[in-house]
Amino acid sequence: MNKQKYKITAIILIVAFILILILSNVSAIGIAPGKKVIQFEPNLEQDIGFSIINNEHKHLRVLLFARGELKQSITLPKTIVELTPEQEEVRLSYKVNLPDKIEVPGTYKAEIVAMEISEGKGEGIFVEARAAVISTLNVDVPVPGKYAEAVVDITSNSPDEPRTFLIKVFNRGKLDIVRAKATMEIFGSTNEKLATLNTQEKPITSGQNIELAASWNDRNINPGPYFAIITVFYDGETQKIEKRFEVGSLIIDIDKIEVKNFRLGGVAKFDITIENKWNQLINDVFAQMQIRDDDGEIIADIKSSSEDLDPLSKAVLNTFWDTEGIREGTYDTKVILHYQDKQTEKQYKSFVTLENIIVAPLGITGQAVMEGGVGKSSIIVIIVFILIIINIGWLIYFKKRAKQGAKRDMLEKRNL
Amino acid sequence: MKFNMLFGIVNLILLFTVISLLLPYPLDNSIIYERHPSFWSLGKSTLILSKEKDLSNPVIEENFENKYRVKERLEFDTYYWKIIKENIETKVRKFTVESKVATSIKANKLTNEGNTIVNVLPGITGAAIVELEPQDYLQINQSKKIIYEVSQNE
Repeated sequence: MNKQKYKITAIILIVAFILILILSNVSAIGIAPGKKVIQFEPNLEQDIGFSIINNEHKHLRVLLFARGELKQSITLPKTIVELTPEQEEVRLSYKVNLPDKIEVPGTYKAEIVAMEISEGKGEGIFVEARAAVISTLNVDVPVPGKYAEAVVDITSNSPDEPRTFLIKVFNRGKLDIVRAKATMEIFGSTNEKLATLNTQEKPITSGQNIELAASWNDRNINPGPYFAIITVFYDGETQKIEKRFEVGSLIIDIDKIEVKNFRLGGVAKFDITIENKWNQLINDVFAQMQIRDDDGEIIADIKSSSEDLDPLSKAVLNTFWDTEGIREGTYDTKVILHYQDKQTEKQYKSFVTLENIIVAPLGITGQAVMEGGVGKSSIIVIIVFILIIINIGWLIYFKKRAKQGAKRDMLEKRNL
Repeated sequence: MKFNMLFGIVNLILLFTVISLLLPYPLDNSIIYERHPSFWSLGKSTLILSKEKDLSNPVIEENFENKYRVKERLEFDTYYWKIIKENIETKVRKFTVESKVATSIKANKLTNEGNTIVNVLPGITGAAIVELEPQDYLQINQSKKIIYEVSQNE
């Protein structure tokens, strides 16, 4: 009987283990890679690998087709792909046969489209909304001579960390570039020049790209908008890029809330001290205050008048609460600051007594964003923990059984 | 006998789990879709991650203890990495972060289940393109016969 119980428990745990693994990642149809870039070469023949993804582990029937200006250059392995529930991903490849010539330089596209179709039915027969996922093939046709294009990315917008300018330079020309480097001029919100940075120098082979990097380490930077002019120099040619970027985020913080000269039954005047942490003027800032009773019902929803906030400054907003009929006690209080289509929200507790209101913060209530559910590592840790428990249980069980067996043997021997 | 077999199977699962914990991740020459991969090493270690084979100009050079999860979203590219612990260092391993365009349609929501920003184009003439970050969703009417085309926008 006991043996049966353990068996059932073990089976349940194994099934739970499999279910956890399956349910931790759910999606319908997918394709990878989403984009592939190749350089044009006359009459190029190449196999390009791609995957159809069946994360939902169902019977998936997929219609595959190519489209776009280079669709004639694409040969797909098949038009219908079937995946069984056990197949999470199927790896395929399509053939690219490029023409001997494309006259005009630029980027030419082909799209590999994968669309789920109903079992036993053909293309286009469906009764509800569905998705088609696309893997794009970009073919870059180089410009004659030397020609580079650059893309700038700025890492970290935190005022406390150095900002790194990453300049990806693509050699789109037919010739190699011997020397490429970049300079960055950084300007503040009033166009004052704050810094000039230089990157290292690197060669770029035709059709390839490199990354140039420089860090801006100034730690006395206020949050706010900034502006950079990035000039890429390559073999006597230049390319200029202008980029706006922000350090920190546009935020007004609630510093404190006070109520002075209060008597229960009268009108409470809340002084809400707020702080502009941005390096620019923010117009029309107002506070909304929602006070709830024990049942969670909103008993007051009050707003302050609007104020303009100078850069990096503090101001006091006032809200008024008529406390007639209000009893002593603790009230949940939410304060929402409204400014430039943004909101800052904080939760407080208001402790109301006969002659005083104390407003104490509970901490910022924010947009808590889950990072894709339970992480794999936590699942593994849970499973390991469960399995360790099972094994300990089993060891105890085996030991007990062995003891009982030994006892039984001894009794049998005695009886004999 | 059957019971002992069950005991063995469960232990195999345990062993598999522990091995997968200890194996270096991402595996050498692997293609991954995770843009914030985690690296494991028991104790205090240093991770060097670079786009160059010789690990020059590292994208990440961080000290960590036991586990390190990449903070910034990695670009779709091939990366080389090694872990240094005291005087020991692993061999240089390689992995590729590949973009995945994936979507699900459930409960009148079209969700971006992939690892890249996507453009969603409802197959209706004149309809606007919607940009979705990974895990973002678009409210739709699922009962309408529309094909939503989802493509990479990064």
